[in-house]
Amino acid sequence: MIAYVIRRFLVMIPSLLLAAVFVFSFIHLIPGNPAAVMLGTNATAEQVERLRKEMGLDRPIPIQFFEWLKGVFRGDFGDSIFYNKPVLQVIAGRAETSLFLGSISLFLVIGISIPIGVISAVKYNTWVDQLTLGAAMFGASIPTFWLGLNLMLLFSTFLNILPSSGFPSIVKTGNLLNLRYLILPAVTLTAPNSALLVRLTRSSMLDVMREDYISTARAKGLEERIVVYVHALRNAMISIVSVIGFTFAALLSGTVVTETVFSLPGVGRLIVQSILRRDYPTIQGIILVVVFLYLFINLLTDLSYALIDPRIRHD
Amino acid sequence: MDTLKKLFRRKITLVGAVVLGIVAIMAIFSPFLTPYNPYEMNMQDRLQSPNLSHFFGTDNFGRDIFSRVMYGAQLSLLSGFSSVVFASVFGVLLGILAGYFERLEGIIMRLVDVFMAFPPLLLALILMSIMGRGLLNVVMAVGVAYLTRIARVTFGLTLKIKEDPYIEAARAMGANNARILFKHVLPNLISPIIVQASFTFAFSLLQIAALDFLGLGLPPEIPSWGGMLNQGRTYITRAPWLLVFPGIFIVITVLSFNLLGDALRDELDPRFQEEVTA
Repeated sequence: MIAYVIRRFLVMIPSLLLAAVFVFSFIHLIPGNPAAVMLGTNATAEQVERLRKEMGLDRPIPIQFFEWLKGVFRGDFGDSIFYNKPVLQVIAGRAETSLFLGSISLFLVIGISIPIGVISAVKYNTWVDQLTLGAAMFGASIPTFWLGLNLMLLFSTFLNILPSSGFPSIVKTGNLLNLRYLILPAVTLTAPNSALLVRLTRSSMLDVMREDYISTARAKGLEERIVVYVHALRNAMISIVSVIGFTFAALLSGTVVTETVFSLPGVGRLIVQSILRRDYPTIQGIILVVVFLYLFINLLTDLSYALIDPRIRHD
Repeated sequence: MDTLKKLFRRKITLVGAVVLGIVAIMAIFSPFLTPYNPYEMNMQDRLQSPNLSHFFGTDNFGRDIFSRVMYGAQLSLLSGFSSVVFASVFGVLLGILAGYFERLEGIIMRLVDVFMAFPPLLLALILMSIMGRGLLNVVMAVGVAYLTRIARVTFGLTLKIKEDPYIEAARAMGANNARILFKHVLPNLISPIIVQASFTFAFSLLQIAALDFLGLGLPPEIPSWGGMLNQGRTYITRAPWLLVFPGIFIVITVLSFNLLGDALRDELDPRFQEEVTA
């Protein structure tokens, strides 16, 4: 198992480096002089030149890349143009909202979709199954932001039982009741993302239920409940886990939209704001953090396959 | 004819096809069918609720929502279709080359992996922030994310097809690589690609709407469904109809593509989904 973990880590390095090259090139792909674009049309030539020097844009590109990479390793992602603070500090200030929102939603997605998918497979081709499939298809077709706006209209404007926007920090105030600000955003994120997982859980359960060892388990006289949850679900878990990695990526994209709809002070909204403000160092920093996070989750997904299925780690 | 009958075996698929037909007619004939000019502002009629002269009401500039939704259909279908074509053409090309020529596999698939390390919407946002707003840019920014996924699928299938006996037979008969790729490999990829494309259409429509909603897609004066929702947000309590109609059209169009994709998958390639997700 340890050898497998190390091997997976090593495989990740080229991907990380290539991603770093891409994120670095980002600022150089902007047409024209990035410093001038960032400062806008009112800036004087001296201001532009000063920023260009400050960002090191006047030096040869390979040197810029290594300087930047060195900074990244030390946790120095450069300074935000808009906030005039280190990028990492800006991101850290916004992390609480996104972490809460993301983890609550991931928890909800997994907690809701897997049981529903299993039930749907067990009740294959009955009205329960049809209803589940229909709902999942519908869920996959609703734009996140539209769902969010409708929930906001219903629960905040008409019924007036839940807050419609903002999220006061729990860490700073210690008030756990602030979580109510995240109820609507979390539901908004959960609904469309559950759809894929429900469908996949159902189809992998159906595949597994056709296997010989399931017939054997039944023939042994095991209770159906044990056959389903112990024998079938564990084997179906491999493909299910692979989709949880996708779900995480989908949630990341989803937070961008959801945080914007509900005006939440999170990283997702920060990226949209930074794009509109042309705050390129901040955009660069967020992308880097997200991509690292995403590759890390993929690694965890791969490792959990090995944990679920011993055949993989002995391969 | 038989295939078509089987394809529409489920009534719901037929409903999806009919809905898409209606949306397509709206899109194609919108210049002749719209009761009002979608760009024309009329401050006297601003924020009217749905009524007989404005079926879907009017927005904060007094523009007719019904007409704007119809023009929105045109842009949504056009941009969605273009991203699918963009993603399919380049995705298939990259996938088939990587799968067939072992020397190209390393570089192409590594690049694909890197792009797949970015969640689709994030990748689109990054590209839009580099390229700026505009229809062609939206098409490319959204298409790139799906290009990599189609390349992956094509790559896997090509690897498998390459080992089939008929490929060996073709080679023994003296066929060159180009002939094998276009006459023998590509035709076998068509049905899985069609299935993939119909789902990609649904995803792209959602992504494009999200970009427009975030104010990073098409320029704001152009009537797109996502853009209309973005502008309508401010009036959510006073004029909910600004949200209802463009949203419903996004949902029914995406839903129809998903239904069609499902039926196509069941018909053309029942094992396909498992292969892709495994």
